[in-house]
Amino acid sequence: MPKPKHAEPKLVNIEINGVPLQVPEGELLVEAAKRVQADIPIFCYHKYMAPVGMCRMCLVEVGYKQPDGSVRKMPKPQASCTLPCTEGLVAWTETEQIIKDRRAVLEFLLINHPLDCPICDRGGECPLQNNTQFYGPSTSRYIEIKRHLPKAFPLSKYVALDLERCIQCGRCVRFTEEVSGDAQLAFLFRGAQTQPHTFQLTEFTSRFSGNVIEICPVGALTSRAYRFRARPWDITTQKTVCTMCSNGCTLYADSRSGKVVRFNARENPEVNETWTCDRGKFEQTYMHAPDRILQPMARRGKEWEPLSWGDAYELILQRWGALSQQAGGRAVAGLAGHRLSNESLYMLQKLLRGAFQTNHIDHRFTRYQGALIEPPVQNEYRDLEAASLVFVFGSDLADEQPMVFLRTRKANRRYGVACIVAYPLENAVEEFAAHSLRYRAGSEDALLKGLLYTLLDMLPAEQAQANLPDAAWLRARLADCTPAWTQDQTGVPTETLLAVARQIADAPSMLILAGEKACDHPRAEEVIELLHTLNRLTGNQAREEGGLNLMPTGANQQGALELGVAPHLLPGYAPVGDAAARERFEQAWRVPIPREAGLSTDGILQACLQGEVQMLYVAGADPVREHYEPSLAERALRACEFVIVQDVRMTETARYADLLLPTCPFTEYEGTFTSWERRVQRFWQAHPPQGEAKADWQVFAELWLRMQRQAPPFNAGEVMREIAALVPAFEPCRYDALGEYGARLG
Amino acid sequence: MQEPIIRITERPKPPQPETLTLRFSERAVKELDALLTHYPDKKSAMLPALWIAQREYGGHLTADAIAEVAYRLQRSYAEVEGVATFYTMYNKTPVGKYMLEVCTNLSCMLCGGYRILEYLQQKLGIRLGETTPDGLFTLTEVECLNNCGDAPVMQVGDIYCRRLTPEKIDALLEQLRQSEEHTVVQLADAEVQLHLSAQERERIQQSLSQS
Ligand code: SF4
Ligand code: FES
Ligand code: FES
Repeated sequence: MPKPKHAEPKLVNIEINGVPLQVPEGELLVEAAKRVQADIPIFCYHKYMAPVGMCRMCLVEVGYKQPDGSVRKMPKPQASCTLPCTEGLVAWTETEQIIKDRRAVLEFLLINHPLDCPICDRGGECPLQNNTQFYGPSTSRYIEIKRHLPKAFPLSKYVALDLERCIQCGRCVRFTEEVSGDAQLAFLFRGAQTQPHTFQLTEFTSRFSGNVIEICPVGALTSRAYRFRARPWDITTQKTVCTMCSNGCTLYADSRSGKVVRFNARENPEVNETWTCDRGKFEQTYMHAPDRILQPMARRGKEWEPLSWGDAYELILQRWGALSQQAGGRAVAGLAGHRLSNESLYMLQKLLRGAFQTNHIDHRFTRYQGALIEPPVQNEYRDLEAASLVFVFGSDLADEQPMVFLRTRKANRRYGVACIVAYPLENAVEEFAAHSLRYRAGSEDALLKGLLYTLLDMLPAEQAQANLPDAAWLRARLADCTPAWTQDQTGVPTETLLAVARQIADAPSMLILAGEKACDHPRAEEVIELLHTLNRLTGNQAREEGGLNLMPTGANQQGALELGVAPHLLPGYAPVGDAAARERFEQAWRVPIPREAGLSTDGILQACLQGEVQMLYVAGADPVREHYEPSLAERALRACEFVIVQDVRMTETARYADLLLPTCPFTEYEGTFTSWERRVQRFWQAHPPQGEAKADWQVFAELWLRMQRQAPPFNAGEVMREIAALVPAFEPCRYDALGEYGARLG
Repeated sequence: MQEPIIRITERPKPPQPETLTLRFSERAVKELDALLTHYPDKKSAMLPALWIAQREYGGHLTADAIAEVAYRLQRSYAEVEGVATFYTMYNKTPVGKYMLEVCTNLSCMLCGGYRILEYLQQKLGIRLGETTPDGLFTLTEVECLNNCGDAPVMQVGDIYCRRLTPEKIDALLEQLRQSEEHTVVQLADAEVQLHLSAQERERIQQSLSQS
């Protein structure tokens, strides 16, 4: 059964250490105890995995209230991690018995555990060390020789395994089976020889391998990159949000002497629970790349000449002065990248619209650059668990949207949510999907047409009519798209198509996740329209737990749409053409805004080629790499007279710049990002900026000051306050109101 | 983040399903198919499937054998290896044609189990856990074989040799040397047959003789 979205749990009365409290029925005792600050030590239990009761560290004494008011105690201590709370449960966590039991369990675990804490990466943040400190015996009675096994064995590029330290809690093994689903680790051998390992010592190739490092309660699994780099006490930890994709996983950035040494997962039950993918954890190193831009630089022939920030601004103003006399704002355009914060994106479009008088601004480098009028995503993570069917369309989900993949898998495993995947190649969703449609690459539109045709046949006519008033027209349009035709076009067998259509027709709700193959299709416009039709025909447009999601790929791509970094949209999806909306912003900014929608990315690049756009402001974007047609971007950049590139490092695009402005990566400033589910989350400065780098929003604000003679916002929080005042959806995102787990835009 | 400090060469990649060499005979495939009908999911057939593999791969489970079982049951390689290494009756290293498993648990020990063991070591010229150079005998020590009344006991394939004496052992070894059987493979086969019902065995037999 899918999980109801807002189910009210039944409460039961229990008592822990004499404190009465109410908890949801079925909550595990170990979790309930946290509510009264009763500290129960654990090893094998993990909040986001099924309990197994393997280590016995969490023993407590338990009894049940009898009808006559007395308490009947269980004769033996119980593992609190496997004990669900029921009415009348009474637990004691600190009795003499329990204190003795904990000591015994720890002494037992320490029999074979080496005492190499001084050279162990886990030292200082090791649950075994901590539990021993608090609950363990101070000496050992074991004088025999300990077990000897390989140390620092490289399991993969990222993970090292020290078998001697393992206490066989099974967390890593359970993670690969339960959460990531690849089951690449298993316990080999038995008894004291039990070791978690890969098959025949082959490479641990999981996409989520880094998580086992964090959940291992000892130093058995450690990070190869972090190995011996720092100790927990010389690290400063800051809360941040991952920028490697749009999933918005919350992280901790641990830095030492101004350098990030590792990223760890930060718990967010609404988003990544406690997981991360390897890309976010290990590959996110660009903030310390050797090719960082460290100061403003202007091109002089073949050379770069360093400038002060003031001179750089002056140069821009000069150029603009000349331009504004002739062509005006039409000759200026801006392209924004996906890693700018919400504040930066807002300030960028404000600067371009208000100061440079242009609506030529965009952030899209895919083939779909249509005039959207509403958010392209309908759902949030939770809906994955509440929907009855998840349809992954044109996405290698595990690669494009790692956390959405994990949550989808969980929805399937834990709540029985069915899954269908359509992707041309082998992919990880197939492991648990009810059906896999491996169509011929490029035939997305044909597949959708065939599916719609079949669905129109299957759904009761009234229902189709009610959901889709132009059903008859659609039927006529798709008259030729029979299953046989579809098989011919896509290679998907007729029976599979029919089975899939049946499942969709019968599903009470369906959530569609559309990936790159749909949004970057040569006929993306049509594919997306067909997806919308599918969404409406099945009635999911109007459902809360169902819906269509055109998944963004960049970290803050969604934020760019929300904040008007689009030629036709002001912040909050307000059309540029709408006079009332424009007026609102004009009043706040105290400057008129051009009335016509501007050019989209492709339009801008073409205009550069034609010499119409003479000044291009590229902020945090790398069109040469990101644009679907790199050569177009390259030619346009070469043709454009004055290209400002504002970025963290020397990108491909930066090679064509006339002016280079250094900016901060996300670890060097504070702000917010908007993830795919339209969740706005804060990140903080983890270490000071390198060189003369400034936060993007600050650069825009300083230009705004120079061009408009208006006091700029002084910090990111002020920018957000301005946004919230103008865009009602951002009201809950003011920094003082934005909670630990962020807030979804209404 | 810098270069990792441990710079040991990269680990080999786990095998791709397409590159596996499948060696199950027609009979083995039929047996496995029959076994799969016994359980709600494929995972549950893992132990008998490993017995089939032990038989098919000539007495011990090679990495290929484990991979083949994993492939046929659609489980991960590591999971099957974990199961195979947990149970001592699955051989992970090559063994001789005759596996001599001497009980040294309480009753047998009291009745001279260790003396038997010693005698065998001398007689065969190998130590515990080793295989004779001619590849015939492997000597191991096992826990109680549930035949304490007849101690000391030794298991060879699917038969028990009871109330052992040096003379009985001499005779047995001689007899084994003459025989054509492969007791390890035989035992594996016996285990497989145990899991199948009489009808299933018959059906498999019939379909094999037809083709
Ligand atoms: S390696 Fe760590 S997580 Fe895995 S079983 Fe051992 S102690 Fe537990
Ligand atoms: S935490 Fe409860 S048994 Fe391990
Ligand atoms: S002790 Fe050897 S059979 Fe029981």
